[in-house]
Amino acid sequence: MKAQSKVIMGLIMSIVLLLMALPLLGVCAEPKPEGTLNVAVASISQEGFLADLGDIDQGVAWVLVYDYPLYSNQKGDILPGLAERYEYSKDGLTLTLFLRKGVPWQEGWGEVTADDFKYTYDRLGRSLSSVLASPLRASVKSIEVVNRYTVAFHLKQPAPELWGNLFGWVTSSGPIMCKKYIEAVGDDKAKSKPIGSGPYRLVEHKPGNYMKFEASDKHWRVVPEFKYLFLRIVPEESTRAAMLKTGEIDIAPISVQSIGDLRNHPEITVKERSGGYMLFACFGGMFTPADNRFKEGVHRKDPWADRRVREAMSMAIDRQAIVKSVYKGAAKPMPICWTLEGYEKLKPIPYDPGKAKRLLAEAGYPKGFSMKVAAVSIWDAALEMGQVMEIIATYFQDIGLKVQIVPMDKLELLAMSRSGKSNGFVFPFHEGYKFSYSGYHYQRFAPGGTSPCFQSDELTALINKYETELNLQKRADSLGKVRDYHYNESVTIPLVLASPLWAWRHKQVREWPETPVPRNHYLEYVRHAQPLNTWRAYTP
Amino acid sequence: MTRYVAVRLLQGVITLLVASVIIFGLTRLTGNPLDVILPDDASQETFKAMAEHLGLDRSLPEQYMMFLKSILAGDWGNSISFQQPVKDLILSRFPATLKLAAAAVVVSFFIALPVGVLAAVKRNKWQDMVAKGFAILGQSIPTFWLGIVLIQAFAVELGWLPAGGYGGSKISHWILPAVTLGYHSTAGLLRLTRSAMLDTLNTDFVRLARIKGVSERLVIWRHALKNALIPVVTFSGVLFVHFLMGSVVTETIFAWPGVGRLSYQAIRKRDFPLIQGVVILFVGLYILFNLIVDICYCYLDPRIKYEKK
Repeated sequence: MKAQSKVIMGLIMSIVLLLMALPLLGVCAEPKPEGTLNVAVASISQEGFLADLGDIDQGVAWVLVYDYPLYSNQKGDILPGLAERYEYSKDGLTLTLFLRKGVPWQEGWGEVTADDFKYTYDRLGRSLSSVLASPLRASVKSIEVVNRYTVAFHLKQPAPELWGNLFGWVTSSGPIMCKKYIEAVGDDKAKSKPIGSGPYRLVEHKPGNYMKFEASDKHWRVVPEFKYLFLRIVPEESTRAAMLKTGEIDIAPISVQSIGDLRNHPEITVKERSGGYMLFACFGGMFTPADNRFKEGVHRKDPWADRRVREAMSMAIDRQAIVKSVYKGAAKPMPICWTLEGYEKLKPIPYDPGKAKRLLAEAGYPKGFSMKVAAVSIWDAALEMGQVMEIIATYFQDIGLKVQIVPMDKLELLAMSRSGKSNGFVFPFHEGYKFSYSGYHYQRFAPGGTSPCFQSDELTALINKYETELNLQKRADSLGKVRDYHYNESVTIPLVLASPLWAWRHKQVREWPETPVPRNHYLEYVRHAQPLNTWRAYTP
Repeated sequence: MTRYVAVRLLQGVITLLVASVIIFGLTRLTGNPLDVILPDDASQETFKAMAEHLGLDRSLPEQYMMFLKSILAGDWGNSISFQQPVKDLILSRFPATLKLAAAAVVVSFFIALPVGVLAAVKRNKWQDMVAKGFAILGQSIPTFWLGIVLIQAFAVELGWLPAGGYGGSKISHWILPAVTLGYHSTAGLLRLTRSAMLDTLNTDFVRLARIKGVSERLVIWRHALKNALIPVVTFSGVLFVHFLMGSVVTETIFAWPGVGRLSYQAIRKRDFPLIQGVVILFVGLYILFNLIVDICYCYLDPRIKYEKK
């Protein structure tokens, strides 16, 4: 019996020892990246890697090479990045970031520290082309390195939404760059041969053709499953669709033009993903005297200076029909812009041409009036916008308005609206996902805004109250009032929220996490169809 | 001949100067590049600072002189959207366009010459009708449509060729773009070959060759074609530049990273220095190739003399 016990004990010990030795033998080693992932995008702008010298369109490549302070998941919840958390001081005048320790720069350039954060944001603040420059210049007095892993932004005035503007909706615009490397090699080299802390590093770049990235075997956030990732620049939509079908590429963003064609393909999955753009139509010439472009007798003289006319024009549009015919279902009608929290709870704007005509008559326009609709797409990736504008022109005609459709170029529209010559026109604007309302407001609705859409003293008073309020509950209430004003006053004609469409070859890749943040496509999280299950700290 | 070349070169310089003024003026009519490159929420101060940085705040004559100086200095200025020297950008993309244009010339010649000769020899027979139909089709079909149809047929349905991308030295990547770019001009070249062959086949020396009993094959391919080729060869020089300049659509459809697509990007971004650089380059090439063609013509056809009598 004793001998038998010894044998059993010996067996157990052997098994335990064997299990302990397995990692050393490599049997249970972490899976390493394998294979090649081919992704096609329409453009990567100037294809450089210095965030302050580029524009947001390059974000699609930056997100692979660099890490960001914070990330977000599909719902827009914030996830830790190079910063583990952020904190505002009680007086709201300091925004502090607490950094993750031990994140290395690629190719042995040391560790990511607060110095790199300060260096990055100082550069971005001086930038002329970065979308982060405006919030930094407007709100940040100075940036202080508190210690190796803590950086503090000292603010000119309380700016509760600043974190969202800097680290939130535009995260793809603000990658953290390596101070030591850029100072050592200079801007020219750093721009074309970046050193980041991200899961991929750039190994080859053929301008105008492709970028080739190689995955890191170790990374604090995610070890990609694909060893190599090619970002191929394929500007023509139909070519991207064809390359997907032939297997030359595995993943591509597509537009509504290709939905029908690709949805029926047996090897391709097409899906609406998070993010997208909100399309709305603006009423021209709605400037107030507080804006230096305001001209007495010119502005606020269009019929839509009357709220009833604005409401009538909004009600004249069948948004569901637009969703069905133009977007093939990949969009939803909207009551106001999605930047305004709580939009989901508002009643949809009804399609009621009868009531629209009555409202016009009440406002003194029983026989309608003459107006112009700018038929233009203001975003190259969404050419359908021009088509939607032509459709809404026909809805306006249905309620008796005499509409002239004016085809124009995006730059013509921008010049027209920015110079204050938009009176008489209804024109389109779009809005990407944002974590904060302020940016949206100052561009479109504040006197002096660079993309003017509508101004009123009431709205300015409401936003002022909201901006200066530090109490969270009161802030939410103030924002609610702003939202209600937008809705009740028909400040714009909200149209649809269009989803971004992605297509992929499901025999090669699995569906991967998504985020509403523009250009952050989380390609580093793409798995093989038969996953390798490489390391990841979290899945967004 | 030397005097003729010198005069033509001088004329070329004057043409380039006139073209530079026209290009400079026209690009400025298309809009403000700052509206494209600056973010939506950029302040008026940012607009001013960027305009100053790019020299767009200066008067038009000053800007034109800056442009001329940059051309003469050889750097061609800095691209607004790429933030790189225009010369470097063009040089990095030019090889791809050059290869595509050369491939398109080869495609044109391989199709146009034999078919054009056949059409002339079989005048008014079914072969001639088919050739003429092929030519009319080629000149009627828009390039973008042809490209998309070829991709659908040969890449998607048959799977013989790649749908897009620049494969460097992989010939398979060249075929569809070269055919797309070359087909339109193939049709013109075919018609030119046919009419030149018809003219030559009716000349006395061809009749004499036949009377002397020279075989029909030799009459056509050695005697007639050799003479009919003179206008064809000279036309091909211009055709080559035409392919270089006309590659915008083809390069965009096939994701080909050449100068054509670069110029398309430049126009969309209102990148004045880049647009000016690309157009000046093409104008210069056009002038140069025309001159080369004229000189070649003189050697190919000894009857032509450029000297003053």
